[in-house]
Amino acid sequence: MGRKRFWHDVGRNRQAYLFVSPFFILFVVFGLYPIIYSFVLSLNEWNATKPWKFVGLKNYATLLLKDAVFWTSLYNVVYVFIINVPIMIFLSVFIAVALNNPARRHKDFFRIVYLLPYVTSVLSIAIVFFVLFDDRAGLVNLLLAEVGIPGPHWLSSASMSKISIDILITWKWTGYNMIIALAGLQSIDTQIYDAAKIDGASGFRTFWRITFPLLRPVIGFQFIMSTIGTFNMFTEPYFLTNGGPGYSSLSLVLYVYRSAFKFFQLGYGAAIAFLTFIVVLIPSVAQVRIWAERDRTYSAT
Amino acid sequence: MVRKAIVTILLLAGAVIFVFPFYFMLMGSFKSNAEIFSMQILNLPAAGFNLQYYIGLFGKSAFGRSLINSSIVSIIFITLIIFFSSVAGFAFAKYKFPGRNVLFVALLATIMLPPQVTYIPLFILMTKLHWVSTYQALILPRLLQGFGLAFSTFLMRQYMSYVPEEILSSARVDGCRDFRIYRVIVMPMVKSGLLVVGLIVFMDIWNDFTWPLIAISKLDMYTVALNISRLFGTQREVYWGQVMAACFMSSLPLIVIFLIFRKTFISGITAGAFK
Repeated sequence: MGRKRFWHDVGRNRQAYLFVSPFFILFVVFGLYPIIYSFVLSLNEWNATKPWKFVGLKNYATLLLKDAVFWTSLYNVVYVFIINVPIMIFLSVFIAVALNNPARRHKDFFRIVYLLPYVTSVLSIAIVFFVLFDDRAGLVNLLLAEVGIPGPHWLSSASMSKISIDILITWKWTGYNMIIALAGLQSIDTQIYDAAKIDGASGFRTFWRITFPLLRPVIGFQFIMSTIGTFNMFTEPYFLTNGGPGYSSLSLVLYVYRSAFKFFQLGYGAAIAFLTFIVVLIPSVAQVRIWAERDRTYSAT
Repeated sequence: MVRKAIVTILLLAGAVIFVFPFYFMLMGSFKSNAEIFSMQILNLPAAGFNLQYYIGLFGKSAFGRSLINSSIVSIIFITLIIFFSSVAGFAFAKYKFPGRNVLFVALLATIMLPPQVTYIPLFILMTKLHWVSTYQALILPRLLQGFGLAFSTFLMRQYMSYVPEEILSSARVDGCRDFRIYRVIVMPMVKSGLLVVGLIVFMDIWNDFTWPLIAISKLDMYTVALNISRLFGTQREVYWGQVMAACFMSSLPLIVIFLIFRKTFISGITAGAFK
């Protein structure tokens, strides 16, 4: 395309640029500028009152080499992620397969009930779970005591605090993932199943050999979104455990929040935020590529 | 047959687990602390369905004020998102302008931006602009976070692409200006898309907690979420019944809207995941 032609096309599409401009203007002010600012700030020491002091990569060096709390919070997030994601994806696919059975009745009822947690705020639910999982007098442990099981210290022991967060996240997001899995199942051509039936394949075999491989893109989406969600979690530990006991359920974002807005170590907080950004960059780039790819095939048709 | 029965029982058990916290919230809002922290939580409230905690909320805890704040913020936020995302979605779907693909991928990339990277600078920016504890602080930076403008534009573009090209070109031949085409012809054709975006965005902004926690410090600017957090954490003696009442009140609008528009919600979820 010649340069003249290019500017001609630009001029002819003035309206289009005007239409997309609000997003990009807002992005520059409330997205790009803060990110650059955040990076510059992370190279400084600043406690909100004294002037900035340039320290180079010192904040990052401290974080990676000396700060045990940072590594604990990263470990916590990975721990929550490893327990939660396989269980949640398995449950969501299991429920979706059960609901996709043509013989199943009351499908709409189950879909609605399972999606209720998705529309409710994390905050309200975290508070309800805080009450339900109270060590001494919460309903969960009272019920366990009824059947003779000593209830664990769900929220006040380092071994259980992360598990409790997992329970909360699984409760909140299984329905959402189930809807996605169900949409994936419904896009599978039913003729494949008829063929499998004729070949005499068992239900289990059909699932592993046909359904599961065809669901792989869907599970990929669930996996990426769960990764990003878990690494960015804040409200769940804030209400359920406040990161404790000790630092046993501190999340990365909660650590950013504390450093910056409780202890006013703004440069240091910016450095933690930037490191978490780099951690979620990989799954994010993967998802954006999938979206962009799909978009290309889709705008071509 | 047996297997089907087992699956049914499991599904029902799951349904109970998913509904129980809502039942707990509602029952708890009529109960004393002693009842909430005992097996009596499973019974009907001892004092009957006494509305004292609901009345208490609207009295000294300024809950009514925070409901108004959250409503104002939600309405302005949704209006801005609907307008900006539909014009941008229209341009991305129906104009072949130089740089379109690059700009669209850039827009997609911002969806994945973890908001915590921007919190500290945004707070400093809000301070400099004297925007701390204002509606604009709750609304404008928030357009770029979560299910904000970028995701909405992504969805709107999909709905816009279903609008037949012939209608647009015949309107152009008739001398219709671009913005008029958008307003008179395209907008009525993408109503379902606008509803999807509106609902998902409403859910996101109404439930938001982290950004308001940073951007708001004055009590009379608190959103519902912040007010619940205050009832939960900073008072000397927590009345759990009152906290449950607040949680229930804040969940109710969304549950009602979800039950009315459940199909739209479901199509919104899948539209993000697939085509």
